[in-house]
Amino acid sequence: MKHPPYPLRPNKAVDRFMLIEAIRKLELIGDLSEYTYYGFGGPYLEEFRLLYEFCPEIGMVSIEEDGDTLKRQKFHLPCGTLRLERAQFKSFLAQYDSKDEKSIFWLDYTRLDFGAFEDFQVLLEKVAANSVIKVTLRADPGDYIDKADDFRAQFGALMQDPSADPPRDSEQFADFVQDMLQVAAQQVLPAAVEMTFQPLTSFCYADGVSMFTLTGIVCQRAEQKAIRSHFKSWPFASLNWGRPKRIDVPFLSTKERLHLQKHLPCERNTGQRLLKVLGYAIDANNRKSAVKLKQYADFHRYFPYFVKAIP
Amino acid sequence: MKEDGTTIVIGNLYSGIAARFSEDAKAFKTDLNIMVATHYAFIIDKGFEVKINGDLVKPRPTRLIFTKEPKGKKAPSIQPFIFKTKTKEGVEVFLTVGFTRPIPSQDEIANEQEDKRYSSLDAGWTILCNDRAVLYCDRNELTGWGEAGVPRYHTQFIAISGVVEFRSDDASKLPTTTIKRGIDASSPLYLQIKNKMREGMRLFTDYTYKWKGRAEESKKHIELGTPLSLEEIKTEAMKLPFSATKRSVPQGNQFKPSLPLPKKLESRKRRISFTKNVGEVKTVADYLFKDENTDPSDVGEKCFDLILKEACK
Repeated sequence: MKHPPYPLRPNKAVDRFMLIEAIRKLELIGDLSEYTYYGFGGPYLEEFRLLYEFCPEIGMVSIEEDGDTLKRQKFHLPCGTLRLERAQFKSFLAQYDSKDEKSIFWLDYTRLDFGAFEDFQVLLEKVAANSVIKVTLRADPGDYIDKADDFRAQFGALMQDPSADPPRDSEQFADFVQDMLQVAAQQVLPAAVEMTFQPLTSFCYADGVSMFTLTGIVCQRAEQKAIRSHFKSWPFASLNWGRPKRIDVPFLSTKERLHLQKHLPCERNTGQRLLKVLGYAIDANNRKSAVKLKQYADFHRYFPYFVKAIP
Repeated sequence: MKEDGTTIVIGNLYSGIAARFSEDAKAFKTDLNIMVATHYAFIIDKGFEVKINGDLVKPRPTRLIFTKEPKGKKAPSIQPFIFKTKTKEGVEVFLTVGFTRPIPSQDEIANEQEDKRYSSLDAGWTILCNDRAVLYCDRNELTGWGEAGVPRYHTQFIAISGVVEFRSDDASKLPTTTIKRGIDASSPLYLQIKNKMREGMRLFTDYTYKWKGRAEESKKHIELGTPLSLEEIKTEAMKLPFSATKRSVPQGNQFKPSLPLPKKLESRKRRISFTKNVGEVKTVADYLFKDENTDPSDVGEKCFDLILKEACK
């Protein structure tokens, strides 16, 4: 099976770190060793590698359907505690029983399918309290230009206005997909039931293809306020289903990054100040460059260095 | 109020109901929109307007494929089955059942679980009583599925949809429950009409069996037709040759379409059908067509053609 070079996608790399940060904040709620992380690791198991580095006490399971990819995963195992499970995710989900044990699921899809929303809904009903679910979906409006009818036929049951056309702007489209996830969550966890889905982060990014990703926690309604208070001061938190935050880090050389590093963190007029430090534009004009440099400042701690290494 | 009309204000809601309008507002609006778009589709199509928070609701009425000008008088074509009558009690009944779109292929039925490319939302029976939908897209025994020679609903029948309209000046004659929101399954009138519903359904379920494995060929016939609304079908029905149904109860008039039959495969031809691992199919598709999403039947056919060419050297 062909795979894109997942580790080389800088914006996705930042999003991965955002998940790690969100997971680390779970320590404020409970013991991390009580969690098991489930994901679609891909051939390189990148997120498992990071998770093992930052939260080694969390149990880990990778779910993979393709035999050849599984062989690559065995080759790239980052540690001995990661369990590789060969299964189709829908089958895994049908069998899954939380047994009241907390979990973290990353539903990392490469497409936008109604089935993904169904998987999300099934998980919402199955996971134990204080479990985390992250959903990543392709959110490229270009897929539905002149195909609005197809979009409505597939997703009408999750649209507040089933006759609406999907937005053509990528950020608005990401917001639209978020709305659909919110409807999906409300359908299975309405206000009348004890549990609710509290969003924690919401991002959109593009490493070639526009993507949307939402992370949230399934919790008792009675504990929702306390959980929100743990994340309130985190600058990357999105707790109210607001507009997704954009991750759009610029590609800078290591030399440029090290040069800017000594001026970070930077609270005010960040983009303009860093532009002045660099002394040249890194995008089409100064305004766009300042926006990109602000992005860099926001996410610089999570942005990987791409270097040539001696194997 | 600035305009003539009626404003309804509901206060002191139960907490669970209040939560539906606040915490669950988005899901509630979605569900309400679908409910109005489907259950009130027929009356909205006639000009009734519904807005939810200012957004106009667009109806989702059932539309059946109707081939308006079949070639020659008796040429088989895709048209709906129609039955109409007026009972002694003055209830007018108009029943129609047919296809809403092409029948699904075997691959599409098999992949429906994963891809959810199709939705069953529009399949099944809708019952209208004086313009109100008391049942929407039902696929159970209540509307005859799984009874008297009609198979249980299955994805294979996803293209089959029917509408029965009951109309009467005396609403008590209609086969509805006392709260007017469901069908009275024990109503003698409904039980009689249900026979006709099953008769009509059998034509189309039978069609899907006959064309099983040949959905692409069947598609050509279906694409010759036009999707028509209930009112449009009633208009076109006036040009159709109806026959009196003297043996049925209640008596009425019906139009039974002559649906196209598949040509028997020439005796010199044989069908080849097999299953292979999804990854392997994609690999071969990518190799032959540079597109791993090529239809599996095209991949199989190309493989055969290539080997045939080798074998004939």
